[in-house]
Amino acid sequence: MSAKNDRESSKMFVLLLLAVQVVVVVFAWLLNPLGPKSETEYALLLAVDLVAFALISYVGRLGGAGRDPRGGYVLAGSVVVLVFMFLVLLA
Amino acid sequence: MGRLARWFDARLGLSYEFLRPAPQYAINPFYWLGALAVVAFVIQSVSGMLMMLYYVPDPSQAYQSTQFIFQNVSYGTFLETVHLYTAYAMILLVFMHMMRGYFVSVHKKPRELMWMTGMFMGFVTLGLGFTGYLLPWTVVSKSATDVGAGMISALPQPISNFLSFLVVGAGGDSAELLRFFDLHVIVLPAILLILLVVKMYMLEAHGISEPVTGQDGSEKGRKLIPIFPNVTFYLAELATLFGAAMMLFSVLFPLVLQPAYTATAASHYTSQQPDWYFLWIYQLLKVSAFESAGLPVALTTVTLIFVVLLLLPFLDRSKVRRISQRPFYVTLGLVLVAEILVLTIWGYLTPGEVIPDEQAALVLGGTALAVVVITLLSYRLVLGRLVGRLGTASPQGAPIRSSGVWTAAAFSFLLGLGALAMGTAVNSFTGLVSTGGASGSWAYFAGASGVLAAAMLATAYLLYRVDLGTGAVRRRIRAFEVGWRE
Repeated sequence: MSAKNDRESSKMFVLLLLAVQVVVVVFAWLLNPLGPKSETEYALLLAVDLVAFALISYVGRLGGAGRDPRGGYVLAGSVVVLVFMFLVLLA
Repeated sequence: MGRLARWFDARLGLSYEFLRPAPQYAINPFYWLGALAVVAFVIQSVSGMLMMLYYVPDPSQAYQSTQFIFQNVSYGTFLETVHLYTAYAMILLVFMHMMRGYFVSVHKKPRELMWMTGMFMGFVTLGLGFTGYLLPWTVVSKSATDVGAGMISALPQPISNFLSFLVVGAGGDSAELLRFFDLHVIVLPAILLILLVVKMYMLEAHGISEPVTGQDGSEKGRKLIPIFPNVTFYLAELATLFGAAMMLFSVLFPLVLQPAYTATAASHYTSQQPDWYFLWIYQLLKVSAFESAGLPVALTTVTLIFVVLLLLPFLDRSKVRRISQRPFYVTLGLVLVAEILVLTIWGYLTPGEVIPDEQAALVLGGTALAVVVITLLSYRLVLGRLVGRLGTASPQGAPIRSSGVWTAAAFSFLLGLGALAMGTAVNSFTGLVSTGGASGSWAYFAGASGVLAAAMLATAYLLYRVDLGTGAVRRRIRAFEVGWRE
């Protein structure tokens, strides 16, 4: 039961990250490429996308091998994604 | 048809199991430093090709076209910044990859040619850095490149002539810039790709080198995992995190285009120095003994370092791979790393200054001495005891747990910090003596001595806490407290 719950949580987490990636791509597409702030925003959005991909790959890779991802790594990655998104808002 | 296919298969090895499964112990970032350097090269190739759409390799337009990329091209500054920072990261990763290989003895049989191919790839990477630095045609890049190109004349005549022809061409700025551009975007990348293919072929033949620490020598560590998806996705994770780090650096430290090169601007620019990865060589060349007539001696010394590294597999021929059993080569490697670190930072702090001989001898000698003493003491106190006297270790040496990697990283950091502080302390002491005890010099000396003391204390604490899988050090220290009873 617990293993099934873990699998469900991982699936939800991956879906959430995929949604974040879609949103990020849409935002990046809408940026004005010649705007003075756009380069910073674009770089941060790209960084969010890359970290999200790394997290999805990490969770999927270990899940495929029947192992649980390390909570610390997942938490750290999620915090990085949130911090980068916060920085996009500040930029 | 089947017979024809078998004929080709027998000759071309088509059914050879390409990209064989990798051992579990390869799921470790230290095994993928070279792969990350390749990722950096790919990012540079893509960003470089985009910049090539706008860049004009002519002295009259090089700076303007670079400025155009910065100001008018969509995400132009981002493109330039990422191109530069991935170049820096590539050089750093190549250096780390080489030094890791040196310390874990990947250069030994049967990987001698792999090591040499990797060394040539390192030289080409440095060449890419050198040639790319000139292209923006700024006063900083042109002046620094002129210093580098000027050194060619100090080499023996035939080599000097050949290199001058290769790099500077028939003379004049136009020929020089065009040759640098061609070398940077065509010749050197092509050579690097060929060498990469050769190295990958040898990697397929020999497989990933085994760990020397014994930590993953277990059945679990040797278990094979498929290249796809396990290893591929692991590499993808490392690559994307590396990319994210590059994005972050480009946001935090966006590149600013330096002023354009003109003869007048160059005449006012007195602190020419190369980019950071050549600073250690440049600092060595600034030692007064190596000025003018001594320049060939300095260049020969630097060349010798590269030649020794290239021919390392034929110099270090023992079959022993464990760090604990190679004190000479490990100490030599640590001295090299510490000296490069000290020279680089020293060069950054003293642009354009000629270094007096006695100061150079004190700083470089002090650094080497500090590293040798600390390393040999470590061997004597920790590794030697573990290998020999305490019965818990096998004759092959003690297994080191995975936490040992972090211990080793902390130890290396402290060693570097200690060596740097030692060099700075000696340097400031000579300054103190020469200025007759000026108050500023005292603060400099006190600060460096404080950092040195802190590094030594932290090293002593680390030595106390280090476990190395057997708990032998702590047991030994406790045994000292109660009297040696083992």
